[in-house]
Amino acid sequence: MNNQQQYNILYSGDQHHDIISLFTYMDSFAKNIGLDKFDIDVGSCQSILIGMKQDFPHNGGLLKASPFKKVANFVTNFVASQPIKSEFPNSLAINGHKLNEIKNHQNAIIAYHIAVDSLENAIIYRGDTSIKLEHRIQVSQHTYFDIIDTLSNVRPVDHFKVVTLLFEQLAYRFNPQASYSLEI
Amino acid sequence: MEHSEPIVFEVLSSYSSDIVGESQPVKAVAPNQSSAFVSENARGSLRQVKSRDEISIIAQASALALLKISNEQSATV
Repeated sequence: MNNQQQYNILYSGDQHHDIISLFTYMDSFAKNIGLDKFDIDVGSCQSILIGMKQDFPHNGGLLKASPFKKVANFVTNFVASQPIKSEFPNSLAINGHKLNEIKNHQNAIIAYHIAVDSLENAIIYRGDTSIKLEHRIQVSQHTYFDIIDTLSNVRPVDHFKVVTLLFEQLAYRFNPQASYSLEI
Repeated sequence: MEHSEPIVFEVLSSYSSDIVGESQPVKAVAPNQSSAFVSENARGSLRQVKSRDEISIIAQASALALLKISNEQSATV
């Protein structure tokens, strides 16, 4: 795959590219929030990216899954595996609450931001129609803290569905044209 | 799931194949789930990128947005 081809951050179809993409994202994010050292479990990252595709929880498999299921699958596997060992700085706070007071905050934060960044400009194929999620998910500071707190202890087997719904509904809020009609 | 020992990266700017490991084909296996939740209703693809630099810029923007909110609050305390 050369640099001119476009590919997904997490589901490029090439495991080598996916692990590099994940490391690149984590490295850039960590540097920019002020970390100069960043401990990660490389083997765990590899296992996450392989395992989440081999056991994709959709009866049509990975290729027929929605983008929301794809990000939820990543988020739940990533957070549960806790590959990032370094805690984020004390200075990182929302509404006076230090994010690093949340256990496993670092994995929840990275997973959430990868999910939001991956859903921006994602495409849904519904029948013969394709719908682009042009508008980025945004939440209030209060909601952000609660989401990180909530995501910090998710597990694939228990939370894949609810995390899928969370990202689906957040994306639909800013991209209402992508939603099914609201009837109930 | 087997975990290896954590290692320390100071600045992750490049990765050797020793670290990354061999490429493996993506394989989708349907698990034993029968819920209507997993019905085939809408497939989709995530955001497309062209390069590692683009991924780095995307991550940087997200991190700086978080840092900005955090810094603004500390400045007003």
